[in-house]
Amino acid sequence: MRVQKNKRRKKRGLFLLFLLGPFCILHLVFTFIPAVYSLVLSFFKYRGYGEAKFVGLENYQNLLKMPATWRQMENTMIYYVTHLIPCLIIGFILAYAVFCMLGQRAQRIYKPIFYLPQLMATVAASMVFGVIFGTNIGVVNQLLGTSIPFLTNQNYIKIPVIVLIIWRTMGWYFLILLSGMSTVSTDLIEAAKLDGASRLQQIRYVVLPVMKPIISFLIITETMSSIKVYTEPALVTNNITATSMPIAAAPFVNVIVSNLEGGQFGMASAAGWILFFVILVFTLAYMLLFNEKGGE
Amino acid sequence: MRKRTGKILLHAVLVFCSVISLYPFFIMFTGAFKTSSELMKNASGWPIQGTFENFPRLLDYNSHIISRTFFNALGVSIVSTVIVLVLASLAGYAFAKFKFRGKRILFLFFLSTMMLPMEVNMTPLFIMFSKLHWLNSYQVQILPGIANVLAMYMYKQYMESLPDSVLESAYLDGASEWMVYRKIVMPMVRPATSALAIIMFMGKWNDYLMPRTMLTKQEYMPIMVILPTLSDTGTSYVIPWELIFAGCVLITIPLLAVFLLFQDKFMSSVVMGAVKE
Repeated sequence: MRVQKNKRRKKRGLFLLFLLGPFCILHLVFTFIPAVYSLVLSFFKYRGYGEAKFVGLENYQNLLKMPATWRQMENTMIYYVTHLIPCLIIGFILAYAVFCMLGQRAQRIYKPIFYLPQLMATVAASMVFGVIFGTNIGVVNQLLGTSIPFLTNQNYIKIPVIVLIIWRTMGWYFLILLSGMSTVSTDLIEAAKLDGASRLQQIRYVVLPVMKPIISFLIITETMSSIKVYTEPALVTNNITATSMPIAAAPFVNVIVSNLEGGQFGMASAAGWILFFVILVFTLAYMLLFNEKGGE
Repeated sequence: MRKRTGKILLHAVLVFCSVISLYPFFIMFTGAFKTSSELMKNASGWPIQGTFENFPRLLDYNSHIISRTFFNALGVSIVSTVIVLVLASLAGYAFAKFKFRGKRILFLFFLSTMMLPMEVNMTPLFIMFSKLHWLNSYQVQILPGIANVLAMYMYKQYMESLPDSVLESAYLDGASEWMVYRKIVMPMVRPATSALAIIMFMGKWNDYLMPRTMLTKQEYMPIMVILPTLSDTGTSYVIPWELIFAGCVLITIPLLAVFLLFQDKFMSSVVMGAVKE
């Protein structure tokens, strides 16, 4: 009996190796080691050939000194804020109205329609919006009978990108918020109503607290992904090379891409870590914020 | 009475939103059937002189490069989705149902790397792959991020909820470890598998930045990278918008097909993928 048990344990150990081994090795080779390499590289000047030269923090300093870096970070932040706030507010109001007033059947019709924009391939959506906002053949200009140079004028160039991002993500917010609301028990709302709570009070004291985990999750994941935005601004403005991207529209990831394309591998790595740092700060701030409110 | 007016008002708002969310699809689909001269005058409405020429022209474009890259993208997306799911389910199973030393630390290590954006690894991966002379290949599109922590995490969550008694009784019946994984565990976590398959496929299909950076030879590119080059004013004098629209339809169809195939399940899958954590 014991022999058999030992045998089984040994077999189980081997099987465990088989389960974990491939994942661990591939994670190490294609995720972890590149990350370490990237961190090391960010302190070196390296152009892909010859000797790498240690330069300390110079790459970071150079990047932070360049106005272009800040300009592109600012663009990313504008894209981020201008979609997050309207999507959260409008998405919440719509989801709440649907949740309170419409039955399952109506929900089943609207949900997929609102989700559909996520199903247009990102590249396709970006190029279609490039046409929608084109100067001469653009849909918006044709419908309005104007010729506003959305894609070429520095002052307007962010508008098509922002509209595209809102169009693509609004339905996602709606969907997540609506499915979060369905976890709010109707008994709780009924009880609040009986106690004479106004609609705003119901939302503030019943709906929002229950939905907090979902809202915080939504905000954090959206923050992580939208700070990395690249495809939309690059393709709406029809700029497939990093150098041709107009500075007024270029997102921060473009700093990484242009340095990588220019063979400035140290700078590209440093820019990557700046991106990581920004994401980290935002995520930690949100976590702190949401946890604190939970303590109330 | 007041409630009724509210409901009608809400429907009006929702219909308006639906129109906005569908209108770009209308532009894309109708644009694919317009001639280039009609697009100039009428990009917003129904095609007046429709044409079916755009699709054959697109597929023949530049000696069939579009068809080839379409299948590149399809192949790469499917293969990498399958590998991601296999690796993640194996590792997730280990974390869910096995005891071993350093389990917690290893798991936390994996979780901590989830915060790392792909953009951080892009430069070293580029150097690594160029040293290996792999820059123009399919493996460069499949291997980065192949050990997907999110998928592993979701599998672990799912598998932890499976009752140990079922697995134990299978062992008592003489099933091997592999049989238990293959015949008992995997069928029981099928909802997680289908949700992850959808999420991973969509992510890979939509990927633009990585292949754009890693590939220079057209024959290895996914269609996502080729299509935008059609609108590059640097290489072509007139931008063939009607072909681009046809291409946009082409790259959206696989996503719509997956969606229509699974419908309700699809919706709950993507939401589950987001909310499960």
